[in-house]
Amino acid sequence: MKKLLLTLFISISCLSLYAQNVLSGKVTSNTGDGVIGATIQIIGTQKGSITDFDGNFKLDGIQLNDSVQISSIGYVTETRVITSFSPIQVVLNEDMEQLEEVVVVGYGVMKKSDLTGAVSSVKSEDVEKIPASNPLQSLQGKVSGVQITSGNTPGSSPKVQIRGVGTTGNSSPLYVVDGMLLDDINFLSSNDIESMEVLKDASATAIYGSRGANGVVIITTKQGSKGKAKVTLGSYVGMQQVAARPNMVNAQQYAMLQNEIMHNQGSDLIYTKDEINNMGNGTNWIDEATRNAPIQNYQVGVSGGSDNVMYNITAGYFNQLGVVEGSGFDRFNLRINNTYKLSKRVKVGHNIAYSTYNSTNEGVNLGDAYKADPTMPVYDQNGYFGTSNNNDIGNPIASSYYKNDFSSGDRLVGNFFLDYEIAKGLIFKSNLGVDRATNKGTRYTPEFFVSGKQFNDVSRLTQLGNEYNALLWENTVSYMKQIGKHSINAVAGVTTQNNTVQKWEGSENGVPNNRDMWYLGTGLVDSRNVFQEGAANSYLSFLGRVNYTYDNKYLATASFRADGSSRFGKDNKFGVFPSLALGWRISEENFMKSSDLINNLKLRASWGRIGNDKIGDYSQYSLIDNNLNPVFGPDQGFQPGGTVINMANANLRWETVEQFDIGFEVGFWDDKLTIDADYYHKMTKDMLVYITPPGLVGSKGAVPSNIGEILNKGIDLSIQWNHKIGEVQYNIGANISTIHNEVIALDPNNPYIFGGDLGNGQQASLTTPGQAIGAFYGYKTNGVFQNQEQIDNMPSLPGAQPGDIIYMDINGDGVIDENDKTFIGSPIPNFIYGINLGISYKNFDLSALFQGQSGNQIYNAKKAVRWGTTNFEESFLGRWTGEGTSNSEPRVTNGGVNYEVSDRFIEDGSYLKLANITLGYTLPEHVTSKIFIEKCRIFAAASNIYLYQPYQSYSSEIVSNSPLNAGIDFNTYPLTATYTLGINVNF
Amino acid sequence: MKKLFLYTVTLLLLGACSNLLEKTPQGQETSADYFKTQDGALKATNAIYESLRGWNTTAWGPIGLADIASDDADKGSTSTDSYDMIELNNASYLPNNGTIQGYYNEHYQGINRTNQVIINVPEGEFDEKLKARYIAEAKCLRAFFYFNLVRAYGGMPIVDRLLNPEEYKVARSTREETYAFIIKDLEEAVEVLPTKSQYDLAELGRVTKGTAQALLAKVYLFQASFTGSNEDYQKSLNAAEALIQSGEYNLYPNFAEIFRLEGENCSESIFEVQTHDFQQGGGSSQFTEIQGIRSNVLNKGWGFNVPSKSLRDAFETNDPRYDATIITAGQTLYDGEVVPRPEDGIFGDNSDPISEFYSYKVYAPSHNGGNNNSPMNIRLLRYSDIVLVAAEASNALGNSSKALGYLNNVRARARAGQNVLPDVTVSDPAQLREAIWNERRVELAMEQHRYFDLMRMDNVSPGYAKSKLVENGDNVFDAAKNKVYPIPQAEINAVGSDILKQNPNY
Repeated sequence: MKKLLLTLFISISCLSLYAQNVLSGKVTSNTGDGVIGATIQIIGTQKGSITDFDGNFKLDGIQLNDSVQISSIGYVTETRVITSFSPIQVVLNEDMEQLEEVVVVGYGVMKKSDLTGAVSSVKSEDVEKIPASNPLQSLQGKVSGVQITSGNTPGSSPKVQIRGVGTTGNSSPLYVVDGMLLDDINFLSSNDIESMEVLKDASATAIYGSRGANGVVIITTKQGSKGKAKVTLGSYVGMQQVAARPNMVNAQQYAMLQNEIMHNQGSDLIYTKDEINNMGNGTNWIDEATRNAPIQNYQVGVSGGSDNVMYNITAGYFNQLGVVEGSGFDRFNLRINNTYKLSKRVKVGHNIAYSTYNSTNEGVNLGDAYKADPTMPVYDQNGYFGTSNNNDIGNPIASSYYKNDFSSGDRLVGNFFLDYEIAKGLIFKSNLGVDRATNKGTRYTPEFFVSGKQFNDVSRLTQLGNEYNALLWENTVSYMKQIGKHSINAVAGVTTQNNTVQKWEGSENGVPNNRDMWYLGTGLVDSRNVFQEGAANSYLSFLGRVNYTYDNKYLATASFRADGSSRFGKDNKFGVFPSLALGWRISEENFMKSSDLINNLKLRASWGRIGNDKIGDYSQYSLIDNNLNPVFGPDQGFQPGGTVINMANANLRWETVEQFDIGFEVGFWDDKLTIDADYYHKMTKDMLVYITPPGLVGSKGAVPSNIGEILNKGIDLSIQWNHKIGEVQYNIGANISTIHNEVIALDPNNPYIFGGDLGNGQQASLTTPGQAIGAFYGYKTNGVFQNQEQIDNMPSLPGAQPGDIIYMDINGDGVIDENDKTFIGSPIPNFIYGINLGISYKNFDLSALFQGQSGNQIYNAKKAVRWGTTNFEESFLGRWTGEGTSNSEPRVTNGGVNYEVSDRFIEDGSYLKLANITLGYTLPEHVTSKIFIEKCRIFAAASNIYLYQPYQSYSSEIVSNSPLNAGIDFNTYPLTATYTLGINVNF
Repeated sequence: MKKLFLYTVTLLLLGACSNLLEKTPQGQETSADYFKTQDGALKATNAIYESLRGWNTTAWGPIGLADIASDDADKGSTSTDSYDMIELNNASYLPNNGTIQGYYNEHYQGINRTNQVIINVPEGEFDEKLKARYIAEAKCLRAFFYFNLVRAYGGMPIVDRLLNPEEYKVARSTREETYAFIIKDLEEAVEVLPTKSQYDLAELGRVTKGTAQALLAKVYLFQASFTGSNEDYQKSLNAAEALIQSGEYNLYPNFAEIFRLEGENCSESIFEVQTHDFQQGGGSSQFTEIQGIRSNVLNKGWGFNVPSKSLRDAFETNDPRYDATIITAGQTLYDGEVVPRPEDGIFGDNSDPISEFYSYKVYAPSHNGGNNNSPMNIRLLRYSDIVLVAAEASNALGNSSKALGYLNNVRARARAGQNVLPDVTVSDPAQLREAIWNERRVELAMEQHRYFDLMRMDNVSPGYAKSKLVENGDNVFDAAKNKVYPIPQAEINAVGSDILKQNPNY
């Protein structure tokens, strides 16, 4: 090998015109180890050399008084003036800034400069900035190509979509926390996160094979580092309030509108004039349902290490009450990340996180608050709950009062690893990951009577429990080698994973209304109902990746994973997922190396195939549903019954995604200005989807199927400007991502998937080729019938009267029917964007993050579905009341022709919010050092205090259970404006 | 260490060959062998009966499609409650009406359960006689489901097997083919099923030979209304008389009592969905709750499906069945409860008064189950229905004396020894038919037969349905359209409009 190097050196020196002298030496790191692959270059020439495995080098063609530059990625570059030809010793110091240029990728790390895939990183300080239970919220607006839809409910996860929606099924990404593969990271405290890397293109994700199709988020938690113990304390406390809400009519307006409905349908009026005049504003149920609520977070940690042991131990407590009365969440976290160096070649360690949580959902039902009768008082004169005669919703505050619904649980997520350096550069790693979670829920409704419509005869207790277990065992071998200008970084491995879940539920009537008695067995034995179910799935995978770099200029990465899953039938168990990527660092070419303008320019392109297996565990089996028990006999007892009621699909297989990506990174003026841009083209094939089969099939539930193709394409662009003027350091950044989502093909015999069930028999979305997933589908409206003459002269739905909506006869056949329905909007934005600003001056720092999206629509289902005499949004006040009064809002009715699915209920879903603004002040060192504090920073922050949102409701961010139901709003949990004060202290 | 590593890799590779990737369902049997055992076959057969308690199979769906849509009943409840029902009440429904869709889907879910038995159980290895009975029960029930469907929608997509995903798109058969399919199932079931008395008492509630005969009699009578063929009337009569002569059934002497707990499974019961008010696990349906008295004082339900004026007027003077069928505000009921009156101001919503009348046939006295789980069985087929089928078929075949005999049997029972409801004596076939039709209406009122009967009568006497519905204030009905309901839009969307054709004029 050394001969090879020697030959290389000789060939380099042969290029020189003059005979020169030789310099030798050794490059070591500050730990004393030789630095491999460090570059030694004579400044002002092309002459240079590279160190071998032990850090030794020889350099030809040098002259006295030449300056040489010794550099290596991750180290501070050194310059020496050569005054003699005796061997030199160079010690390179680790460069903390340069170290951040290492990017965590699947099953390894990579120098950012070597990266051929599209990977974005978010660092701990940005994660910690956002006051939320789930760290993913901090990705919103920070990373291009990632759409985060805030969940807002305390303890809930935001919806994460990377590069569009590739499937009508589950489109959530895969999370990898310290090597453990997970479906959610609800347990994780933002304070424990070192970095989050979002893997977007196939070159980066294909190593995760069947689980990478929706993108991968790799999370690395904070580790200890060598040195004396460091103690960190941090806390913030704050207040949250509802940032936006729907505007409802008051009592007087409600009574007037209800009377109009009665008048319109020829019934007797409900309220007399006097009653209406005396009504006033009545109850604003949305005000009653919401509140200002506190949020608080505390964390303490200690980290440090010696030569052989490094540790990081943290504990944290997060508590958030919801802005909806009765909702809340708290969580306690403990983390122990330790590494033990057993010998020079063997290292073992663990990253263990334990968390417990409590969650309450006893709050007011927002749907009820929206619908409730505003003429009903919360309490009547006698202090009893107010009641309504005109509305079946009842008193929402009373419903909440009698509602008990809380849950708690704990979760252990961790990994134990062994690293064994078999030979220099060849490392075997065995990693055992665990994820164990238990959850318990209690629901109890006492006997109560509020009114004839709002009462409960029999008390009922339900206890729920579940337990999840996942065990992952990964064995990989990685190899790093540099031979002259050739550099290889490879990994190969075998992994298995086994997941099990068990759920049980018991319920009973007649349980006393005393929390101490809320146990099964305290009620009526005959009423007891017990249920249990379980499921399991497993994986076996083989993976490999080679990353090859030539002369730091030409980069290539090839990866491969073969995944086997128990979820599929025997002919479809294994899938193969390859990828290939190429990169060219133009800035390393000689013609650009000396450019003052451009310090970095890299082109890269990748292609790969990835999979998605997110479908139920036993879809291949026809299962017997039990408890279909008929009653027989003179004594009328149950006989057991059970049969197949849900159809299976034995031919089910992976959904696959083929993604092509081409992009560049460029840095100007020593990275003052950086631009990162990618174009991607992502095609989903054999989409896994539950198809509601035709009714004639007789399946009670939907049938899992592989159907169709979906295209997502777009541009991810981010621009960052960092600059320092005197003591003022500032940065401005922006990112924008365009999303073009289009269904290319579905079942050719029936290319229609209706979705967006509104619960009243109507469906508001249609997924079909040529349209976006879950596109809204209904009638187009064209004003309001002003008089009978218009109705007579235009096609209309049966029963249309003056004041009703005019639906457009799209196909021009003179009849309004299903064939006139068309596409009336899309829940998928045209683009999403984020803008971040930061400025620091002396001890002050200020940052702001704006985030928004544009071009999507919302279907206002809460307005579109009326259950009788429910309350009205203010938009109803602009109704038609006679010829010429309104040509947009029809006469008020409770149902009928005006409530067909139509663009009447389509709203603009764009928004822009100030997701975060933080002002921090770091106490001067001369003050803190007196009290043994290394660093102390106090800060004030606010989230969502500015919101531009045309949609008059709680939030334009609608979290839906399926892309087929996306953007359909049935009273989503309110977006909250949060104000916090906090402190961070390091000892 | 190297050895350890190699060892690990080998172990893992070996793992690939073993059962690592085989995960069988937990706590749920798979279908492969289930139906082959006697226990599984029995449970699968039982599961069909469970579907008879379905919301849209015997409760909300037929209440809407067969009663509220007809001239017998008004929608009831508050004026704005349930747009589906409002549309059914005034014939303004569109193909996306949720109840019309629910009725369709749930019946096919029932059909799937019958097909699971009919297709899978023959391979079973247990007592052949029992096996044959399970299959015959399934066929009889499949015919019951299809008979409901063909009357509601016309010719149906016939699904007589378990469909793989690539077979989902089934086109409609003609009405004639659908009837032929139903008749075949019933004829096979008649051959095998035990009579009511041959069953163990513990099996009470299963379909019997009598159930299949009764359905056959009705199916032929409906078919005859299209064909006008004497052969169909004769077959209807044959089936009805086979049942009448079986001696298994008679007209229960006390008409009112048939619809009380003591009348469950009485001598007149041919097919009855068994229910019980278990505290847990249901055991019943919302059948009585949907139609129960709606009031704050006597709260029995939601107050849908209330007897119309047209129905109340259809009863002859002093017909005791009037009081057995109709609850009137202010009345004291058999369990001593007093029905509140509108002027009491506590009738539903005080400003939107609801009905003064309710169906007595579904009244459920106090029980343990809560309104949504009452112990009242759902009477699907009664003996008097079949006696009137025999009367109608006889009259159509020109045998008026036989027809009068059957008709007057029913009247005699109704009169219960009082001096009311004199025997009918007309012999003119048209007049007699009218008399039988009116008898059928008042005898079977509010039992989810009327709309389908009315459409059948309209086949025989065009314009009949319109005249009756107009009498009840419904001017929208159009016989060229509303004789059958539309195929649900979602179904047409799912199968494809080129394959599954919509009914005319929808």
